[in-house]
This record gives sequence, C-alpha cells and structure tokens, in this order.
Amino acid sequence: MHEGASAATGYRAFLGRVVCALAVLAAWSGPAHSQESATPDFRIIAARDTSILAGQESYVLRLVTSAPVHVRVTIDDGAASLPRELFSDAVTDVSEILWAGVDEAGRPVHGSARLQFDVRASDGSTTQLVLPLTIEAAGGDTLPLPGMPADTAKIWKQNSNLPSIASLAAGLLTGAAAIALPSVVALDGHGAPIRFAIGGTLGVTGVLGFFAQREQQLDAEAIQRNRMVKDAWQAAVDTTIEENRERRHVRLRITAGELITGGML
Amino acid sequence: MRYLLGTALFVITSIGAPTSARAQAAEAEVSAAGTAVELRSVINGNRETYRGFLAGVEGRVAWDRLALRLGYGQGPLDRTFVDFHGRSFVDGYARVDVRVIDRLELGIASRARAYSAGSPSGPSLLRMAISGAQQTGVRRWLLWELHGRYDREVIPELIGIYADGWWTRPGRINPDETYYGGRGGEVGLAVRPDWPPVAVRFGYAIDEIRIGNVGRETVERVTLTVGYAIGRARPEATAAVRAGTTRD
Repeated sequence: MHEGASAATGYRAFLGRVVCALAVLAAWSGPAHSQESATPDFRIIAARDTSILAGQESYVLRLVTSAPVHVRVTIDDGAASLPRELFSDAVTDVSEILWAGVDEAGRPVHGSARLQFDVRASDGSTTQLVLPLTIEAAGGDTLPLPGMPADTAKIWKQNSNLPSIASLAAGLLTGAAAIALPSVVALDGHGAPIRFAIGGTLGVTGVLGFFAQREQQLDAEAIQRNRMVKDAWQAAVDTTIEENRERRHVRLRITAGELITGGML
Repeated sequence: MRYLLGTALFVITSIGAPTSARAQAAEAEVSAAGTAVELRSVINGNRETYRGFLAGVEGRVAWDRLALRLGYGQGPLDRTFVDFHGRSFVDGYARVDVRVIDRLELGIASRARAYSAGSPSGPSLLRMAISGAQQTGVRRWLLWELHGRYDREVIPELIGIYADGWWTRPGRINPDETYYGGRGGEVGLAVRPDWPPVAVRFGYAIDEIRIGNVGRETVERVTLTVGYAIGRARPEATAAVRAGTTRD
C-alpha cells in the first residue's frame, strides 16, 4: 500500500504549507517543466523547506498534470539496496503523495534522499525527474533514568536529639524532685530514706528513656527522610519517562534541492 | 460552696478552650493500690510518728482533655516508738484535671483524710471527714487542692514519669484548729505498655498541713498501684500518625 493512500490525513498538513509550496511551484514552473504544447504540462509541488514529526506527520508532494499521465514515484533513502516505491498510478489532474519521513522499518530517515518521478504520457513518451532532499533529524535521544538513591537512613541519624534529651532531663529532674520534695514541702525537711531509691529509679528511667527514644526518634526520622528521597527519585523517574516519550518523536527538517530533469526518454 | 463553683467554672472554661488534635478517645483505668504511709504529727510541741499500710483502689476516666480521678485507701497506723494507741487512717479524694497543653494538666481535688484512735474506721471515718461530724479521738480534714501535673512518656509505649504539685486550702477541719496552709508533691513512674492492658504506678508523695502556729501534719506515702487499662490513647502515637511518620 502506497503511503499516498493516507492522503486524507495529510491534507491538513499540506494546507499549512501551501504558501511555502507555492514558492516551490514558482521555481519549478520554469523552463525545465514547461513542456511543448503537445506534451502534458507536469508539475511537482512540494515544500522547499519544512519540518515534520517522523511517522506522525507527512511531507506532501502534489502532482499536477494538464493531461493524464502515469507516474511512479520512488525514494532512495539509503536504507535499502533498491529505491522504495511510494506511488505508482495514473494521474489525470492532481494527486497527492504523502511521505511520513520513515523507512520501511519505520525508522526516521536522515541525511540525503532522492525522490524519483517516472512519468509516462499517454503517447508513450517518458520523462524522469529527481528531487534531492536533505533531511536533518532533531531529537530522538532519550535520557537515562535517574539512579536509585542510596539508603540515607544512617546519614540522618545525626539529627535532632531533642525529644530524647527532654526525656533524660525529665527523668533526672523528677528524680531530683523526689529527693528534694521533703525540703520543699515539710517544715522540718524530713523525708523517708526510700525517696533516694525512688529518685534514683526515676533518674535511671530517664537515662534508659534517653537511649530508647533516641533510637526510635532517629529511626522514624530516617524512614521519613528516606521516603522523601524515594518520592523525589520516583518523581524524577516519571518526569524522565515522560520526557523520553516526547523525545522519541523525531522531528525532521526536510530541505528540497533543485529539481533534476532527466528529459524525455 | 465557692470551691465547688470555682471547680465548675474551671472545668467549663477549660473544656471550652480549643481542642488540640490529641487523643479524642475515652480511656479508663482501675487499679488496686497499696500505700506505705508515714504520718508525722506535731501539735504544741508533741511529735508523734505513725507508720502503716493502706489498701485501696484508684480509678481514672479520661476523655479528650478532661480526666476524673478517684481514690480511696484505708488501713491501720502504728505508733513508731510507743506501742500504744494505734490509729485507723483513711484517705480519699476526687479530682478533676484538664490538659491545658500537651503533657501538662491542671486540676482541682477534694481530699478527705481522717484518723481515729479506735472506731470508727474505714468508710465511716471517711464520711465523718466529709460531713465534718465531730467525735472524740477523731482528727479529720476536708481539703481542697489545686494541682499542676506534668507527665511524659520516657520509654515509648512503655514507661512514663510524672510530677505533681499542689497547694491546699481547707474545707472542713478540726474545729479547735486554725488552718494555716498546706502543700504537697508527688513524683513517680507509670508503666503503661500497649499490651497487655495493664497500668502500674509507683510513686512517692509528701504533703503537709500547717495548723496555725502550733502544729503540722505531714503525710509521706509510697504507693504502688496495679490495674487494668482500657481505651488507652497515646499522644505521641497520635502525633506520629498525624505527621505521617509512623514506623514502617
């Protein structure tokens, strides 16, 4: 199936480039294609300089003839040993050929390419026209995904000891309070000796709490920090994937050269 | 009556204050309490010291910022130097606390305390302290206490410590005495594991009532309570969930 069969979808793109195409038409409607009145007046209208998204948009070639001719269009993009046929059919007045800028494998074409038009008139006379194209590709290089972050748990263990210090202070202060309470409350300041044991127990509890809470606090912080780092990494991966999705759409800049006339064969 | 009105006003205004995101769930504890007591009484230069052991029960119900505590203990006290005239001792209280900021509660308590040379004892003695009834050989006080209490969980999900201080004002006291003032303090630790639902408290308290210029009554207590807790809500755990920092 010729790529020209998708003419309808490319017609809007053609309209968008009609002004540019007209400039090309003016250049090609010169002496090289002004045939004698006995032969058909055959013209090729294409953009001199345009860009398309490879595989998604099309480079439009418009064939205009004053009398019915048979036209075979091939492209030599260097990807295959033989030129690839884009179109082969009768043209009575106007036909459009759409080329998506990709080779047979669907890969964007870049570098030089040659469009060859073999035109055969109803009287059997033939002529060959060649339109050289220069194609520059932009984009298509994908970004590497960000690397998995390292476990930052140990890094953040240097931070924030405040709750554990507060627990230590609370334990020591209540322990001291147990010892000092009789002096504050009782007029004679007398208190039972057991308060020293109780005060010591409270102080030791505060020390134990310092270590217990410190570990737990740091663990919680490390987990939180790790989660933040992981979320940031995941966001970067998502962004890169999205960016790569865009980058896979290669934009081709196509510049048409001067039309080469093979003359009547 | 004015203390009752003051208590009601305090509770109402505290509840009306903005509620923090702290625990909203109700929680309750009921515990058996054993208290070693030393009572030192100095009246007109006569010093008497009694020691004994009280058995009792304590309960606590809390909802949001509000907590109600009840406690009762009774038991015999023995004179330390002269084996003569042991006393029946009883101590009971009802207390309302409001958590004004995280870890800090303010509260008002009514405490009834009495001891007698013989009968009555136990609840009957407590009723005398509350009603103000007089009987020879019975000394009783009905006191109002203004409390400030700080508690903090020092070993997460296991052990907390607390410190409680209070000022005392008299309600009904012995008619032949002039109340001069009083204060007290308590510190201790509370074991409150997530599981099993037990509550263990170990605390040391001392308070003193000044009686005019002639005397004072000092009560020193070491209390161990073991009880059952339901619906416990931990402020730290609640905060961690709110901040999204629970441990994985």
